[in-house]
Amino acid sequence: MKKFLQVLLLALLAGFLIGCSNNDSADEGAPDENTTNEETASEDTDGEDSAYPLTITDAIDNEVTLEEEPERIVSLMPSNTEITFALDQGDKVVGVSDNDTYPEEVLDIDKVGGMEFNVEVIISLDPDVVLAHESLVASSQEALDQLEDADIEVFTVADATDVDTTYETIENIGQVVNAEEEAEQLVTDMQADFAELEEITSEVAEEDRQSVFFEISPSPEIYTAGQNTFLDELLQIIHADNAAGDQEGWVEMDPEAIIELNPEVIISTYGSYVEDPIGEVTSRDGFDTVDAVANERIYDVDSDTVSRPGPRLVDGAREIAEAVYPELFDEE
Amino acid sequence: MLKIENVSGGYDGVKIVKDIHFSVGKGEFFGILGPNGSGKTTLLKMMSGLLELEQGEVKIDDISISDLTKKQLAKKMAVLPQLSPQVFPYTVKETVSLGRYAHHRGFFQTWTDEDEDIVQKVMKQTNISRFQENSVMEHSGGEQQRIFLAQALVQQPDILLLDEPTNHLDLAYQKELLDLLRTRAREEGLTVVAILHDLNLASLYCDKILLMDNGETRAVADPNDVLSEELINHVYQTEVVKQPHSKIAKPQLHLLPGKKSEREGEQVKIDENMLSISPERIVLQSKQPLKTVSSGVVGAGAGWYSNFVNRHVDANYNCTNHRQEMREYLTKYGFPVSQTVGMMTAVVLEDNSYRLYEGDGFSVMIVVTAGVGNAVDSSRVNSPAAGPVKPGTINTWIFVNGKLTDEAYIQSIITATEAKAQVLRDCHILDAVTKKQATGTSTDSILVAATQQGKEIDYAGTATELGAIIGKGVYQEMKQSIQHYFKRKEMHGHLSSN
Amino acid sequence: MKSNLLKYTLSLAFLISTMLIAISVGSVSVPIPEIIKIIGSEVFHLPIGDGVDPKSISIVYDIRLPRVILAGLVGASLAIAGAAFQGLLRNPLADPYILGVSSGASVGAVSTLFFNISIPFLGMYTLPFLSILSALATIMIVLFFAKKIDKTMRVESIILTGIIFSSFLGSIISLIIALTGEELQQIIGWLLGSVSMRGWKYVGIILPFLIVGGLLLLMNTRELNAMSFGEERAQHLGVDVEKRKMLILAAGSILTGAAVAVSGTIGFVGLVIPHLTRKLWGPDHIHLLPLSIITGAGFLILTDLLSRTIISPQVLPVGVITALVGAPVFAMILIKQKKEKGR
Repeated sequence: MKKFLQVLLLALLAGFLIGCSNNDSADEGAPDENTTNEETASEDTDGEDSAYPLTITDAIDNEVTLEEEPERIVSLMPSNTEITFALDQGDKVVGVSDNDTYPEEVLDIDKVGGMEFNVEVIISLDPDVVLAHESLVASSQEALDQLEDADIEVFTVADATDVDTTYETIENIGQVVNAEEEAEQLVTDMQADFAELEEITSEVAEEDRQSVFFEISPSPEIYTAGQNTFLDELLQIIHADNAAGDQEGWVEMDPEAIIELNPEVIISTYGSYVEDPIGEVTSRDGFDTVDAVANERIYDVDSDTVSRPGPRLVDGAREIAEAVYPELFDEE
Repeated sequence: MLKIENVSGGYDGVKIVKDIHFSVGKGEFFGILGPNGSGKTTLLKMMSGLLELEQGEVKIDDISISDLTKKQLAKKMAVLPQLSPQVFPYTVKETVSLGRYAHHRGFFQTWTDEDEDIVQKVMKQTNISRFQENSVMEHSGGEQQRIFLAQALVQQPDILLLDEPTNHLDLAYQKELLDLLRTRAREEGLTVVAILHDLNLASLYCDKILLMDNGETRAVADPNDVLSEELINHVYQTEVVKQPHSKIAKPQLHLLPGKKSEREGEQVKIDENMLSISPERIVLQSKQPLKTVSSGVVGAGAGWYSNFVNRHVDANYNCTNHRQEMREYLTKYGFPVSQTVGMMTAVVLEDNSYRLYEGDGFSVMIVVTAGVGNAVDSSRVNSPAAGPVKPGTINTWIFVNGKLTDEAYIQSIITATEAKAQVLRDCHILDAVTKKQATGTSTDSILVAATQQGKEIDYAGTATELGAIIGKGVYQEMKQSIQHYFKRKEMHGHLSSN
Repeated sequence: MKSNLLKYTLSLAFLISTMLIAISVGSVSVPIPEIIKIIGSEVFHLPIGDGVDPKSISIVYDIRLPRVILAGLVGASLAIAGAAFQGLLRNPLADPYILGVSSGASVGAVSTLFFNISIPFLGMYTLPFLSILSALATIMIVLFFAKKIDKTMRVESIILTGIIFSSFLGSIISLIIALTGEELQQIIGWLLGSVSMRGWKYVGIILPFLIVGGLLLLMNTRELNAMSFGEERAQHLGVDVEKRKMLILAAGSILTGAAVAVSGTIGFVGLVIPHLTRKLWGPDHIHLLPLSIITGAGFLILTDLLSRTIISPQVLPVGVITALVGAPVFAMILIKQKKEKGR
């Protein structure tokens, strides 16, 4: 019995980790310190018309050769899907993961599975290329091998944990789906939007900088985002402080410590599955002395926009910025 | 006291115990016997209230046990089940003290001085006081059995049920335990009902025995009646021989191992060639042990022996512990004492006579050494020879190649003795004191041994063939031996002793 | 022979010292005089609370104190239930979860999370309520089936039925988890077990169950002694085995169900503490049960303290710590005992 429980727990734990990385690539616990995006298109194939056959090296050093422009694309990760759609290639996407929610069109696209994708369904969709993800490699190596055995090109996109890497993944996907110009444009736009946010929030005086505490999961196991997470980076961009900035990655916090940190703003990302995320925080015993609770500065943001390494990071950053510094955005 | 009325029952609708009916009186030691699977333990479980009865009633003092609460029942009846392995290291005293459970009321009743006294007393009786603080698990099966007996006894029951209490116990503990139970039964009126495995133990201790077979009563009676060869042979499907206990008036049953042919072993025939005669001793050695009845110095009584020694000793042989001396003598010359019948004689061993007589399907060899120096009239009983036993003067050995019954052994001795008296009369040998006709000498010895193979011979009276041969053979050999004796005396012309 | 006074003194000393340490130590350090002030003013309403940082009050009174007390109550419940189950089932390796009670409670809790059930007037107590309810339902069903299988309800039949039900309910939990989307982390967190962030209300939830279940068991200590020699033996000694067995199973299940309901499945306490207590102080249930309560409470308080301070301010699952601390301690005691015996 005891053993059974332990095994169950281990299995659950494992499932939990895999599930996270599958749901939201950025939920990866460990920071990806040396993400090197070595995939670079051969310079000489840059010419638009004569690009094919095109050989690209992907995030796991596989050489992927595309005979011609892919017309049927399967995406195994929501961020891949979002990027592809943002590059105006959404009509080519014929299969997405179960976790895909954005944009709305994906709801009508065939699903190929969640934690463990269904190889048979993918093959039956007859894709020209499958956009896999670096975070899937560990858990789904066998499935990816099977796809390659079926002569389907699998391009593994890097697991981005910061904004710059995200730009690179956008450019890589742009190459694969033959939308390099759109990709450049998208990156430029994002850079501009972030710059704008930074610009606006730069007005904040040093003494007015807000300390923000993120809650990724509700009590009793309150997880937060420390350094080397998108949330931390977004806070830096908008000139706010991460109350849990001393921590590294995604950690469960002792509630005592949260009270002691006394953040001025609490931002939760679990509103999609907890009915009243703000009430969840305010109703906690002992939290009434926390500034954020006392001053009713608790907000919920869409976790997808702040965790998926895609074009909507800008939206997430804006949402956070508006929550943290509402006075700066009043006029808009 | 305890009444079992037409009880039937079993497990899952299968009747294991069928219509058992008996009663046990106060202070009685009641045994339950039966082969494996005969329903003994099931019956005991039904009597103790563990197993529901399908039919019938178990009554204590005319109250059905189903009308008693568990605690009430526990105060009247205690059970010592078969040992089961212990899981937790309770101390001996804790274990025994649990027996007081039924005497406690309410949830938090405390331990009273009375409880303590009873526990200490019982632990002393069962001889476990000295390790009362040890863990039960540390103790051997035998000691554990006593610990749990003590636990049952501190319940202060009127009735004690036991399921094979002597299992796991070695011989001394078996006796100790059963003695203790019998004492409690006799002196304190404890009613004991015990399942026993060992028929002979049951015979020794039980006042009454229930013999079960296939869930049914085969007999309820006293041990002597229940332990009849026919009944036991039938119920246990095995051959047993009933014999009286050699010391007390209780029957004992003996198993006969293997098949008949295996039991008999190698064929053997006793004849003259097996005899070796020297001035020191006459010896007969048989490859197979012979069933022997004798009055030897060593190996007297009934038994199975393969060496037979008639030893010459000096006429002045005088030893206070002649049995011990004889044993040492036998051992010294390589005769294992446990397999040897030894006799002594002061007669010169030249005066022997022996011969093999053939009968119809059997044969008899007779060996005699004789001297008549202290021949007596056996009717002279008022002045028996005083002092230590003197070496025998007429030693008679009768070996029968045949299978004798107990009767035949006894009749052989009678017949041989009658023949001896006849020889003495015909030789006109008188009692030196009374001057009347002598019937033998004061220290004569006899031995009847049979191979217990071949022809079965039921009787050995003078009217039977065996009796006739023994009578004739003993007469002839003894007469010849006595004649040798006289002849030698005359030749030497001086008095030898006897 | 160790005197009873010594047994209780040492056990209580352990409990009280772990409590004091657990209240004073945490991610945030609050000086001991301040803690005394806080407890004095908040618990006993003494007018000494002035000048204390309200944040410290929140931390000590609202977070730390209820957490320590809840840990104690959960530890006590699991340990006494474990002790009773081990005695009743004659198995020193039985734990309170053996009959599927925890799986039952888990199914209740996980379903609540999965279906997002909220019973209006219960609000946030929906989860513990449904969890206790399903724990009790489970033990009823287990006993019902055990009786169907074997009218005399032998221990073996009960264990067998319990194991079958555990696996069945375990697979239901796995099924729910497989179907779970975003509630996954909540469910996992709950299954891992924790006494964090439950507050005084949860103390209030478990306390009545601990009192009722604990008293029921304490009233059956002598029966447990008898039954640990075997059910037949117990009956011969005058114990109404069937009735007592039901009572003890029910009480143990109430305790386990309530503990699982407020804190999830925390392993090891219910297995090791009774075993350890028995090794240290002897198997007599009259003392084993109360001593298990005390030791179990102290042990879980201690392990919870470790779970929240080892890598403070981060938190480790307490179930991991119970095993991490419990197993070596357990092994040490076994080895030490063996050595002593060898002498």
